[in-house]
This record gives sequence, structure tokens and C-alpha cells, in this order.
Amino acid sequence: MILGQEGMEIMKLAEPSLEKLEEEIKGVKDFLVGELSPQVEKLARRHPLLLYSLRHPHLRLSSPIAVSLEDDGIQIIAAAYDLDVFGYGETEWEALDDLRHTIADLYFTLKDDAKALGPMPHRVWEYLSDVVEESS
Amino acid sequence: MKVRQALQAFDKLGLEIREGRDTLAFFRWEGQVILWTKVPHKRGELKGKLPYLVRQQLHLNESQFRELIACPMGREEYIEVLRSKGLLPSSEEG
Repeated sequence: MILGQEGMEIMKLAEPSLEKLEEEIKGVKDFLVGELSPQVEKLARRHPLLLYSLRHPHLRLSSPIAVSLEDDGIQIIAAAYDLDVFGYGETEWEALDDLRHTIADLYFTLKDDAKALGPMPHRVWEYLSDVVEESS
Repeated sequence: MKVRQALQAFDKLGLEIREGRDTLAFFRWEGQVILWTKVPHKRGELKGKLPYLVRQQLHLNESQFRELIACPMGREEYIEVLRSKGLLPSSEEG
């Protein structure tokens, strides 16, 4: 297409805007690659699941506990954020097993101290005693 | 960060240690359980995200955690941090 005098002038006027747009696109690209990608990658290494059992001879769960499994590059972390506890291990199975033990240990500790709990442990105990049932 | 350093910090804060599958540590104030954390039995480095998780459970920011490990922060300073975050019962004074 042959541009007339008017077209050429419009192109000249638009040039700085195009350069600015190019710069902005580069900025967005840098953001996506530098900032967002690691975050997305991080999220992709984390996945939620529900824990239905503590595999404990005297404790059973009446409701599942929300757990986040995450590969931190060294080990697998299983975190139950509602209870402020975590487990870890070389495999997901080990991390969940460690978490189950920690939840059981926490249950008995808070039970022993049920009348002497600070604000955060009190809230955790309210939740934990609601979802954990003891059997003889 | 080494497990040994974490245990020294727990000792400095007066955390109550309970040995189970891992080393569980409970912080008590005025007889009440305030928070807990844990480290592996295995000695050596606390790897990966574990130092971060311990710090989170202790309710410390990065610089406070560094102070704790490097020594300036003791139990009294720690109690002030917890009090400022509303983690201690307000009805009693420590």
C-alpha cells in the first residue's frame, strides 16, 4: 500500500506511541517471565487434598481435614493450615504419615491442657475436638 | 539453619519439649499453651521450607527470627512480640 503525504504524517505521529507500546509489551513480558512464572510454578507444585483418616488406633476423623501438599524441591511438605501443623518426608506418603502423627500428638497435648489454652490453641482445639473422635 | 540452632533457640525461649515422632516444642505463658512448632529428630540442616515453617509457627518475621537465632532475642522480648500480635490472653499481664 502506498501512503500519501497524510498517511506518512500519521505514521510519523504514531511512531512514538508504537515505541511506547512496544516498551510496555516488553515490560509485561518481563513481568510474566520474571515474576509470574515462578509463582505459577510454585502453585503448580502445591495441591490440596482432604485427609480422611489419622490411621491411629484410638482416633478417627468425623470430618476430613484440609491439607496442602507441596514439593519444596528438597522434600514434600504436608500442611494442615487450620491446625497450624505440618508433616514432611521424601514422598507424599511419608509427609502425610508424619502429619497424621503430628495431629495425633497435638490432639493429646491440647486435650491434656484443654483448660489452659491461649487464644490460638483454643481455636485449634475447638476445631480439632470437633473433627476427631476417640474410640476405646 | 541447623536443627541444633533451632533447639538452642527453643531452649532460650523456654519452650517445653515433647519427644514424639519429631521433636515437638510448646510455648507456654502463665501456664497456658500459646503455640507450638517442631523439628526433626535428625541432626544436621533444617532443609527446604522447614525453617520457614518453624518461623511461621513461632509467629516471627524474618528479622525477628534472625535475631532469635543470632541470640539478641530472649524469652522476654519474644513475649512482647507475641503480645503485640494478640497471641497472649489479654485478661492477664505477663
